[in-house]
Amino acid sequence: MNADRTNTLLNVSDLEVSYQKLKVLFGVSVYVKKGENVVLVGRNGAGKTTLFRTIAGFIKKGKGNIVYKGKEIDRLEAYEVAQRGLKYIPQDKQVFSDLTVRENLELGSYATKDHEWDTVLVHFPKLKTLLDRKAGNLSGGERQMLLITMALLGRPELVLMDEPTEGLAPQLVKELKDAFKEINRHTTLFIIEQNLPLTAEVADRVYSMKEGKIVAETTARDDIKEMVFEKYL
Amino acid sequence: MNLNLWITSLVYGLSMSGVLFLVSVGISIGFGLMRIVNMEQMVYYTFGAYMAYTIVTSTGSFLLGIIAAVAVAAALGIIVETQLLRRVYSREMMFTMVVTFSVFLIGIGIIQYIWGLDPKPVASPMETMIRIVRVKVPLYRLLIFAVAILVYIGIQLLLNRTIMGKAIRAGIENPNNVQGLGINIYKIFTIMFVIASGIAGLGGALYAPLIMVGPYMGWDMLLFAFITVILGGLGSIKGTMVSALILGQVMALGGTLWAPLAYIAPFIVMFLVILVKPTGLFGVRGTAFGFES
Amino acid sequence: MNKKVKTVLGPFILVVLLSISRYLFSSKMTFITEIAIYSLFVMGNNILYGYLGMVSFGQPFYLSIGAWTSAIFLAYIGHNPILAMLLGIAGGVITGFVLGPFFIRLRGDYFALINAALCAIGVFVFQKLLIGITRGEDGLWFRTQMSRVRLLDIRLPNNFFFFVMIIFFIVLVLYSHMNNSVLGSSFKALKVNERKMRFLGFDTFRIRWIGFILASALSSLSGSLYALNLGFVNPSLGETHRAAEVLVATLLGGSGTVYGPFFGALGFLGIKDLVSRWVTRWELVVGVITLIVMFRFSKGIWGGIRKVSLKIYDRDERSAGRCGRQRS
Ligand SMILES: Nc1ncnc2c1ncn2[C@@H]1O[C@H](COP(=O)(O)OP(=O)(O)O)[C@@H](O)[C@H]1O
Ligand SMILES: [Mg+2]
Repeated sequence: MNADRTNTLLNVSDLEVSYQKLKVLFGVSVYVKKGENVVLVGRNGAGKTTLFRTIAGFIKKGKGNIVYKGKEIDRLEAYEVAQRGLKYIPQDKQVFSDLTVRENLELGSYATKDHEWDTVLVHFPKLKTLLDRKAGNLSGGERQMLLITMALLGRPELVLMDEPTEGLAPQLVKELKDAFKEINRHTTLFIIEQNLPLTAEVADRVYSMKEGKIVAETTARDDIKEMVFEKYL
Repeated sequence: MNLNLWITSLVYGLSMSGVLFLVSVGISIGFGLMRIVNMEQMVYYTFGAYMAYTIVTSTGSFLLGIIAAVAVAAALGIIVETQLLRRVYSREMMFTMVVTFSVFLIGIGIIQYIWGLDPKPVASPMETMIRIVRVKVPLYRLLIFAVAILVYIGIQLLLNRTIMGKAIRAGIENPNNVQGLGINIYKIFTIMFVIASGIAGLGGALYAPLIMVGPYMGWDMLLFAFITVILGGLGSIKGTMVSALILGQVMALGGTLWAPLAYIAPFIVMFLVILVKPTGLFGVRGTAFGFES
Repeated sequence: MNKKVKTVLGPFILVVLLSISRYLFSSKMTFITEIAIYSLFVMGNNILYGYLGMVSFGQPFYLSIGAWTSAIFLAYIGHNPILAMLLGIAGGVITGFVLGPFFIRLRGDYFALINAALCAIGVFVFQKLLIGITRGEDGLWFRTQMSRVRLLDIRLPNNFFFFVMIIFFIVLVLYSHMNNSVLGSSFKALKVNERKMRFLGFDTFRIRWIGFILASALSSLSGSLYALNLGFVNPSLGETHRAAEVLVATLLGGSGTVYGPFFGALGFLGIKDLVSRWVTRWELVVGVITLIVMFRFSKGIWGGIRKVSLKIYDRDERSAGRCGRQRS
């Protein structure tokens, strides 16, 4: 399968990852090109989160390579990966609940020296009204908005989102979907989704993962629209 | 109990609270921020006490002794953190627990090598007694408590008023997410570690004139410090302060009733608290370490 | 079949070797006795640390339960040392049974520390509260109360040595059996991934509880034998300081294995013996050794021995291992 690999931003090849003795990823290869919105689907326990956490530098890989913007990043600490413009938004939607929304954003700015909140807050204007609220008191959707906004500070080139719409009301999911499209204009996205109709709407390319392996890659627009990737799960 | 006894006990308790807070705040931070059980904090405490002994006996200046204690303890903290602990943060907690415990043992060994086995007395920096409602109490004990309060306020200001402090608070709640933002959490660890070990050294130096300084002084204090931290709850500085206050009084009152109770009462308190409320009194929110839930 | 033979053969060889060394180095008899007794203590801690992955800073408490039960029985109630030992074990089992449900649901750090607290409380109870019975610091002496038991008068050091060897052999066989049984595998699986075990339908609470009781029983057996060996018990046996030693011995020998504890006891007591000739206190040495073991030889002495012998018997072992696995 020799797809056009110019402008490859992230290239993961033959990745193997274990928790102690329990092997979870068995030779996973994926790539993401600049400007794409790639979606990774798969059942619970397939290893999706493990893949993202390994790319982001939170888990040390067993075998394989992770190349981002032409450089190996698999030996870097998580904060170094983030500093290079590859951000990861975890599945658990944990904001710093003890701090206010403003303080959460301040931390994002502290890390990236990017203090222009207006340019990132355009996606979720609602947050502007919540700046002095304790982040712990936000709703699930608001938390996700805050997390995305924080991740976008510093203008990352690639953002990995781990099930961003999980457990959110349909109205919010729609809001996020629109935001993804907006964000995708200037930022490459790699998203884990369990919501297949949503995937069909936003994805440029879909990877299906099963039991620690990539079992299919769906590239054709029509196939994605028809949710062909569903049958591999 | 008459008033005399009661006030004396109260003041004794306050000084104990001060010492407990100073030696355990580092363990609380280690628990909360680095997610390690850093048993070697007691090395800094013991070194602090011995530095006070050495400097006070040679120069006669208690203030110099305290400065030396803090400096040496902080320096030891830097060495241990950057050379050893940094390698074990990612390991499971059992591993770091045994590693820091070994460092504690090594520290005791080095102290024996430098200062020998005999307990050393440290000259009291002041004999001043002051009156509280007609009862004379030693000013020094109250001063220890005052210093602990100042340290507490300093830490609170650092945590609440500075961006570094906010990063630390965020790190206590979720170190991974702090890294995810692109913040070098290890730099923060080092800074906090140095502060913590310096404070433990300060605790040792301040306590030294009230006890005999010996190589094993860290043993009992280790357990008392853990009781303080557990009672206060993981990573909560406020909780550490409150539980230090409670335990100080428990020890003082226990000791007033029956001398052996001063030693054992905290253990009984810890035992009961863990059984009844395993998160402590002021456990802050955050991913539980050890066993991820 | 092969496995059953191995379960008995290993312990047999070890005990025979120890008995031979008793004659080769006859001046070292009490030392060998102590190693065997201490091994039992380490084996108890090994179940917690090596198999279940739980650190306890309070194992001396369980040791002292056995020691005090036997001592109090012999000093006040009966004369039969074997009965005293059985009561000591029973004391350990009951302690583990009662405390288990409260302790094992705690997170790892709290488990370690509540045991430390328990240990301190234990010393206090035996030293201060029960001073009328235990005689506090002076210790409780009962050597003269011990009667002769039929077949083997264990009051004589030489006989006591063989008595300990027999106990050691029995315990090793059972331990080795446990290691190969479902229970042993459950312990290890639990250590690696508790969540998964629970999903698979295992009652992880009960498995831990059993492990906790076994650990407690082994520690108190060791305590009983300590008491019988010395003829008296004093509160220092249960001191918190000793918690570190047993942990170090466990690591040194190789945790999570059947024979690791023996080599840990041998190595630790040996080092202590040697070092104490040069320096009075040995914290420094113990600390350094532990660090080295933790970072460089995480499999301990026994792991090292096994690695070497595996290289020698490479082919044998591998084919035998495969057959065994297929059959079971
Ligand atoms: N911290 C962990 N320790 C041990 N096993 C884990 C851990 N996290 C995940 N696993 C296991 O790894 C497998 C993959 O998990 P994960 O990557 O979270 O899957 P997904 O995100 O696709 O649901 C699962 O079997 C899970 O039980
Ligand atoms: Mg997941």
